[in-house]
Amino acid sequence: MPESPALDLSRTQVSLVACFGTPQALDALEAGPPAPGRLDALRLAPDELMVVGEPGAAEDLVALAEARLSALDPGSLCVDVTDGWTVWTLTGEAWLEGFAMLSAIPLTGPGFAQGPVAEVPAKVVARSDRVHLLVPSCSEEHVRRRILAACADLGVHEASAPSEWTAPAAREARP
Amino acid sequence: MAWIEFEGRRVRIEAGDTVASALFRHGVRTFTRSIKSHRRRGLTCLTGDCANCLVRVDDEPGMRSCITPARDGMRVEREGGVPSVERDLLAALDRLHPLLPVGFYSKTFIRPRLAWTVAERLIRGATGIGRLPTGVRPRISQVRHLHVEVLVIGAGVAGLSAALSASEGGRSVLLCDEGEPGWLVAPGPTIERICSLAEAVQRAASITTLWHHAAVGIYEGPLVPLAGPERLVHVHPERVVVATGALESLQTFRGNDLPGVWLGRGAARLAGRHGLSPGRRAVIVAETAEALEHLGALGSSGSKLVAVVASDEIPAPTAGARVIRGGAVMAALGRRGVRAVVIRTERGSERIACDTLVLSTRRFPRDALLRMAADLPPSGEAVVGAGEVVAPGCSLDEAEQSGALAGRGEAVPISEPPAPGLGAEGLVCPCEDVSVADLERAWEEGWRSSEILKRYTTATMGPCRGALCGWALAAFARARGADALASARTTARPPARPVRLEQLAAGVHEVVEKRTGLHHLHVSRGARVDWSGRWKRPFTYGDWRDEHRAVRERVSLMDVGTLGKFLIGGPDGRELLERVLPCRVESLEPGRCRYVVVLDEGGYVMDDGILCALGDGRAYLTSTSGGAERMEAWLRGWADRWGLRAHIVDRTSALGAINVAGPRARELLSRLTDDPVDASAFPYGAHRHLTVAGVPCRAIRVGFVGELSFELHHPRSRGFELWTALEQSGADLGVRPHGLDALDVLRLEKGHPYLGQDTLPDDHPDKLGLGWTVAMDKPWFVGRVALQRMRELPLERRLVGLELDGDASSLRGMPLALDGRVVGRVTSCALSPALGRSIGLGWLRAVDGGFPQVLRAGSAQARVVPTPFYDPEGVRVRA
Amino acid sequence: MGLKIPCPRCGPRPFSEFAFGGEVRGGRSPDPEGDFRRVYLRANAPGPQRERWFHAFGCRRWLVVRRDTVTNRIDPDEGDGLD
Repeated sequence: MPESPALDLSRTQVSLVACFGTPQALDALEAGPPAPGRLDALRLAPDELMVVGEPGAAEDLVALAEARLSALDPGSLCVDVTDGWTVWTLTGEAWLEGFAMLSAIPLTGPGFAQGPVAEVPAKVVARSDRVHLLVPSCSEEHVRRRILAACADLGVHEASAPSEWTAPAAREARP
Repeated sequence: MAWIEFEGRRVRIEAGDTVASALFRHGVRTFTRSIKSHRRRGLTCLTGDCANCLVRVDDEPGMRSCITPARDGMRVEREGGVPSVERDLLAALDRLHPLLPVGFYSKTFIRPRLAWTVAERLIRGATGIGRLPTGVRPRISQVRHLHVEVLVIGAGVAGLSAALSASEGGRSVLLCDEGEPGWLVAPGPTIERICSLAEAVQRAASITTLWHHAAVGIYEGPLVPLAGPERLVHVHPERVVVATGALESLQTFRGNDLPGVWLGRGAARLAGRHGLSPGRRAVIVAETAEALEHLGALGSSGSKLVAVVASDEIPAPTAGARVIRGGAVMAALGRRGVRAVVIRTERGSERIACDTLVLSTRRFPRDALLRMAADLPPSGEAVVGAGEVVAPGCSLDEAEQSGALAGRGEAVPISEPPAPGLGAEGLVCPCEDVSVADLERAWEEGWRSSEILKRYTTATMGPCRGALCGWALAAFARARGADALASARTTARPPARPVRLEQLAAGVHEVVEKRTGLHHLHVSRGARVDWSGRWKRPFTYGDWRDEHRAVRERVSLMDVGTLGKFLIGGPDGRELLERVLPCRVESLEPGRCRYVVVLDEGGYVMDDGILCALGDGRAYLTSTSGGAERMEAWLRGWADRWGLRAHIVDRTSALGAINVAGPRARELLSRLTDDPVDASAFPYGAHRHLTVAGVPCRAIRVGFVGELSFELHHPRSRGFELWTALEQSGADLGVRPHGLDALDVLRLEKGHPYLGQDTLPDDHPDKLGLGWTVAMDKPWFVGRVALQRMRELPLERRLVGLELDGDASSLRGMPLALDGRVVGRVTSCALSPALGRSIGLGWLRAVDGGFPQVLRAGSAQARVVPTPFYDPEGVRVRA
Repeated sequence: MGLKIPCPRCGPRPFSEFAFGGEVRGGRSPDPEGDFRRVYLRANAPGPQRERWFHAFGCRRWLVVRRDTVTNRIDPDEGDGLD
């Protein structure tokens, strides 16, 4: 039985919608009732919420978010930003160790943070057994190469199949 | 049986050996030569502090053999002598000392100028050390980040105790040591205490240990990089406890650097841990209680204790050694090693024959890390010391208690280190061969503080970094009357321990590279892809002249996906742009676009781009490739300061852009879209939403290359689809891609400046001929105040178009001269295929109130001509 | 690395994640002299000053801190960033 590698690198396909509005309106959208195709919501700033959805669901999610948000804040704006980001996912026992080779962001467990990963401004979504790294798509190749180089000693292996976005556990705190 | 190779011989190694102990057992006494005078050096400290045992191990120079574990198969060589360390001809330099006084290289080899370059090489070669192995590729190290609440540096009694108390309550603790707990300590009560504490540390769940990781320094944060054998570890602690201990002082007397002169703990370690006798007849200077332990270790190893020069407070040892009270060492005599010492008492001087002199002297803190932290408020507040590093000479119980307090974050008792006495002779800085006499001479010459003495004499600049000599240098200045500031110890700087350059470069191996979604397409088309700012871009696909012709005569594609792109919305989005941009924003109707410059508060051109008015009060703004990141920060900053609610969405990565340019661009486009693209439906200065080959695009009619152009902004993921559709559909039109080489000439023919290449940081729009983009009648915009002021002054510099003789393509950067005076510079130039002559752009200074018209660029004549050079009416771009 | 800047959204982070935006100065002035001072002059005094930083590698928003230019001690600033 082959041993599973300690560290796997894979791409995760998602759709991403950036929503801009007043903090109160975004609070409501963030907490709000689940939408079909919606997987997660990342609060990037008081006036910006990034909705994570299933691949291909961007158009529907934009329409839904626009409808909900404009009712609360007529000056709001929703944009499909899927193409602007690449999601690299680290799984395996050594995922936290691998992350420590790429970034000085203090990450001890599940949570969300924004900061430099492989010297690129990234959004970090950590779960109990993996971490999703959202990096600007123009830097995806650089980040991929850096992950493979920095984590070589950990036996990183690039998976051929893409990953799926993992849902957050109940009430994960921000690190 | 395990062996190391040493100078053609095989040397046996036993369990627990270091390279030094193995060589010592083999009979080696001279390990290296000092770098200036080539004096013999042997084992001294055995703690990795001094530079007397440096050897080359497996081709790596400068290894401290006293702390390098010996391993089977190692190759060890001594460095520093010509032809060898044992028989060094350059030792004659020691006798030439009067001819080479301190600071001589600051005073000699000054004229002729060539003298220093030659002399420097000779001098460096004469040191004989630091030869790097050739043909060895540096290892690529990685960085690991580690976040802990408490970092404890040093796993001695105080350090182990601090780690234990810090971990109470489950705090995360990292304990690191340059080696391992107790590895430097001879058998005795200390090692027993260390072992029991170390066991408790191993059992503690929240303490992580990192052995063989040396702290490089303490930086702001605090940040403490640890250099390990494989990686560099960046530790980000909330608190740091420095427990790096203390070391005995090397007293100054003639011959204090001879092989055979030991620091007390060094001799004890050799005897106690390695079972080797430092020598047959030993004299020991006993200033501390620990000296008695050292005595015991020496005696057990087989050394005959000839005399003990004991301070008054030290009780007489029971073994029958002769005790001398109130004595001081005047000299150590010998050539290849100690043969005798001269002790002076009030009764007079006495010569005692011996081969070993052990200095169990009062200890001084090994406090470089603490001093680095002290220089870094406010991070320094999080760093404290514990144990001998703040209370040298303290007992084991005191050290343990000190560690426990520091670990809990409580105040630790501190005791002042002793005032070092300075002899009249001997080396103050053995690493650099700086003697007391040298310092005195420097003082005479007027160098009157420890810092300046250091720079003039190079004392404390050697590998030990002041560990052995820092105190003495400061004491020297103080004894001669320098005030507190002038006699302070010299600044402690990283690295605290030797570190390889490859470790410093750990984790940083390449510049962050950005690529568009069409990168692989360009590569597959055979393009020369290279850096353009932070992006990798295609420069040419073969011959830029073919590409240029395609743009001017047919149709061509270019990947301009690197452009900054921003969607600006929100209730105050348009208002924000109105205040930030110098052009009129409100009057721009949806569907129209205009070229804009972005000014900083000084009125200088920061960036340029295209502003497209969308419906619903929104706008789409492009910027140069290099300016995108700054643009977002710039816009957000102003929105914040004015309390404007603007939504700024960075689309730079999300959207690609393909410029379809050339007289047949419309023809090609109309084949792939049902949306109207004729001149009346889609005029110059407009943007439209088109679906091209099924890909939704924002098409902008731009004029950068001077031909009919449609810049198609599209989702990044569909770029490949769009490009190949255009390529295939336009095959019969002779479509081909063009890169940055062709673009450079195309835009030059239109006189368009490249920001940063043709512009200077203090160019306001008038200097660039872009005054038409500024609406001065707007009551306010960023930069208006400064621009208004500058317009009151005559224009002193302009960017001008140039016509040059001959083939001027290599004249970029050439100064422009008028009657032999430099009055400008050529910033761009090329032999234009469209015009059949050389053109360029350059900046030109006003001379006598006007701008000269005819200049020289090197040997060529340059004439100032109006721009654009090509199609000055702009007929082609407005088609 | 190093000096920590307290981002209200991301927590204290090394200053290398930020871009410096200068000391907080007054807003537009109705008179030309005031405007000139605002554009060209800086207090640059030793001691605490309010200054702007942009969290370029993180949330990409501006924040205001109070930094002592002598000791480099940085504290969050309660005021808004308005001119």
